[in-house]
Amino acid sequence: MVNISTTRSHKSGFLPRLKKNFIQHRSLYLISIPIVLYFVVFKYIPMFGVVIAFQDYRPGLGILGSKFVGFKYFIDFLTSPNAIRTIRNTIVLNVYNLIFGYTSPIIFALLLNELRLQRYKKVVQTISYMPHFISLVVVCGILKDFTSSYGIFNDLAEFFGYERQNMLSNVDLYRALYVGSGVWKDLGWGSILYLATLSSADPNLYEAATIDGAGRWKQLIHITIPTIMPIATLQLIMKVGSIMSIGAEKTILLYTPLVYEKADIISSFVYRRGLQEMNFSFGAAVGLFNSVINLCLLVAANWSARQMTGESMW
Amino acid sequence: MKYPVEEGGKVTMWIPLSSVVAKYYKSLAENATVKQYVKDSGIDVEFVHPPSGQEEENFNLLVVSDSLPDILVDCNKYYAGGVDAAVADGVFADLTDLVPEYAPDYNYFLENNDLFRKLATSIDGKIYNIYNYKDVQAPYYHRPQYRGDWLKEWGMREPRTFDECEAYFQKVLEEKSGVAPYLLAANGLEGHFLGAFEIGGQTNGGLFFVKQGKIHHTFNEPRLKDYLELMNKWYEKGYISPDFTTVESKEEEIAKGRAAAAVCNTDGLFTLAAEMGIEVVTGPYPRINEGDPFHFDIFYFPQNGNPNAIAAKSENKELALMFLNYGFTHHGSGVVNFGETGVTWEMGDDGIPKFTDFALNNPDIPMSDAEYILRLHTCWAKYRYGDDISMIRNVANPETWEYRARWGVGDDPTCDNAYALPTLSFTAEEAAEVGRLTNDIYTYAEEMVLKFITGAESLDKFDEFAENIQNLGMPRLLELYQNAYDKFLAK
Repeated sequence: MVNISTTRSHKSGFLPRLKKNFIQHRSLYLISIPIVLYFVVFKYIPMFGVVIAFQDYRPGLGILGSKFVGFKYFIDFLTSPNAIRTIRNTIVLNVYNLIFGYTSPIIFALLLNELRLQRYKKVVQTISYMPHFISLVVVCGILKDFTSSYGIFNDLAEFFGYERQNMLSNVDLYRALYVGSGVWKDLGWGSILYLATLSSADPNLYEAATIDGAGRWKQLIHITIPTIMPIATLQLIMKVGSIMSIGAEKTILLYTPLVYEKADIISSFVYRRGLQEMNFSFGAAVGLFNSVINLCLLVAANWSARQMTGESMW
Repeated sequence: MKYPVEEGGKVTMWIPLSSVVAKYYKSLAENATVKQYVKDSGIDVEFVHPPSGQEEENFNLLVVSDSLPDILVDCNKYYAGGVDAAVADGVFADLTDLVPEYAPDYNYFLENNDLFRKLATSIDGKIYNIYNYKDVQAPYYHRPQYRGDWLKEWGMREPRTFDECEAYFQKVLEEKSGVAPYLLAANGLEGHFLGAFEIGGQTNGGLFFVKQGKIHHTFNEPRLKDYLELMNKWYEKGYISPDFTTVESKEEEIAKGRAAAAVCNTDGLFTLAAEMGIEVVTGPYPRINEGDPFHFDIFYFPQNGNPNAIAAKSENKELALMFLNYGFTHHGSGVVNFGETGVTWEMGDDGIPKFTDFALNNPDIPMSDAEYILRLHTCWAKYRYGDDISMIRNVANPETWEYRARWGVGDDPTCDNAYALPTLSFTAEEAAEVGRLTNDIYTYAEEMVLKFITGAESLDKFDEFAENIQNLGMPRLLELYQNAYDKFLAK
């Protein structure tokens, strides 16, 4: 392990300290250069591009030549009769995703962790990863087939006494299918992180707990869960911080106008607008709007996590 | 203009590479037809192919980095604000003064076909693009289609009216269990049926139409209610498949025996049906009463899409125009339409090019790829011959072509294309407004149309629907289109 503790002398200023630190840890600074460059070039410099959200941006005129229009495109989006609905749907779908998509890999990892038969555990794990590698287009194609009136889901439903129907066209089932298929696809893959964390748990703790008479349940509560708590908190904060941004791909593959009421989200709405006319500024304005809300949510989630569990991103 | 041109030289061209072509070569330059085009025109060409699926990003990246090639194929749609903005912003060149001198063969069509001139020039008559020219009417490749063997079995003819459709659907329900009688268009608006109510856009699915000089839109028509009532009745009776909104391929559903009728691709279904050993037939546009007039048949405007622009900063504008112009000459159009002279085609005695056996029965290249490899089905702007003589698969399979042509021009005497609307052009500001209004209106209307059909919303609410459409800005949308159409006529 490299010791990266810095000697802090509060008397000298920032630059002299940096210089001293640099001399002390030259190789570390060198190693970090590519990463810092990456963030500067691909993340920070492009941030200036958000000005186009306030312009009538035309590529031929460039950022300097395009007309400044202020909040025109923000107002354009927010006054659209569909704005409220798409924002609501985006948030609701994401909250569902959070409730089911976030918790299911944790539960799955905990269950796997309790398995004692290594071979069986490996097989289950491998099978659970597989859906992750199937392309989204294929997953949606399968889902469409299964939910059509002659599909396998309807065979099951009919067996239990329900009438055959096209499930994807049913407004009340859409969200369940959307979230459920996501859970199925990412359950195994998402659990890898937690399993890796669990494998680093100190076996001595379990041994000591067994000697003290703790059963499997007590061990789970007092050792296993605290082990994954920091990483789980981090994951939760990150997920909350991306609530407004949900990709259009899956929605476009699954929805029909019949289920707009619950399916139409911000990104699919912007996508349809993009089919009508090329408009960078409108897309940028909506993107910026989403990012600002995401940032607020991220800060709030981080703050509450620190209050409640003592764990936080910063 | 004499080809090969004396000076010669080289132009660069931005053109997306179709996925079919990409299977065979990395660049269009390797295509034998292109090689002959280059040799005969005397102008060399270097291709810039954007990565597949990233055409829009690639094009705009070239714009901002100021490195556009000379000729830009079909990228008006990628520029924010459209072609007029692209010229105003100094991205595309204004070709008005250059075309008469350097593209005389293209200019011939502009001067001699008034409709083409109106369609291929800007509102104030400027030339910004070189377009495909194709002045041949052809049967549309989508038609109402039914199971011919079942019609025969029941002693029925292909339906001419909605009543006859219903009788056929009813028979399917009674006799063929597990088969959906009819697959409605996924958005609920069957272009081929709307026309019978005089509310239809065009049979190709567009919803705008022009009636006695006035622009109309399907969503704004009171008789849309009659259409929706009929569809709702069909849905309730089980005539319409409950899966119609999510079906991927109607042709396959019919060929697999899961559905009995649909408006879908004639070539596709005919081929599939032959493979599956079933019989299909096409029918006319169904009417309320047999022989009712129908004004919404497809009309192919002579401006056949594929706008080519020339970069404003190109130093080879003249040469680029000369290169494109070659595709409009007698010899050059033969090459781009039919392929390598003497190899894939020969001039027939009647002056019409004929494909050789090498093109029609090529053992190495599957028929579906041949259009793109042995000839140039999609490329830069050109004079286009009719699909019946210039597409290998249509010449090789005349029965497929006949199947498509049945009920086309002439077979249905009360059918015409009087209400067809040309492509209209808008200024950047207008285009932005059209985009916003269209998105708002369609998002609402498409949802409601499907709800009315499936019964999720009662048709008693149709008046409310009509009112909401007004509030969402339909009058303004129609006004924008009317203005653009009036300007088009006044050209």
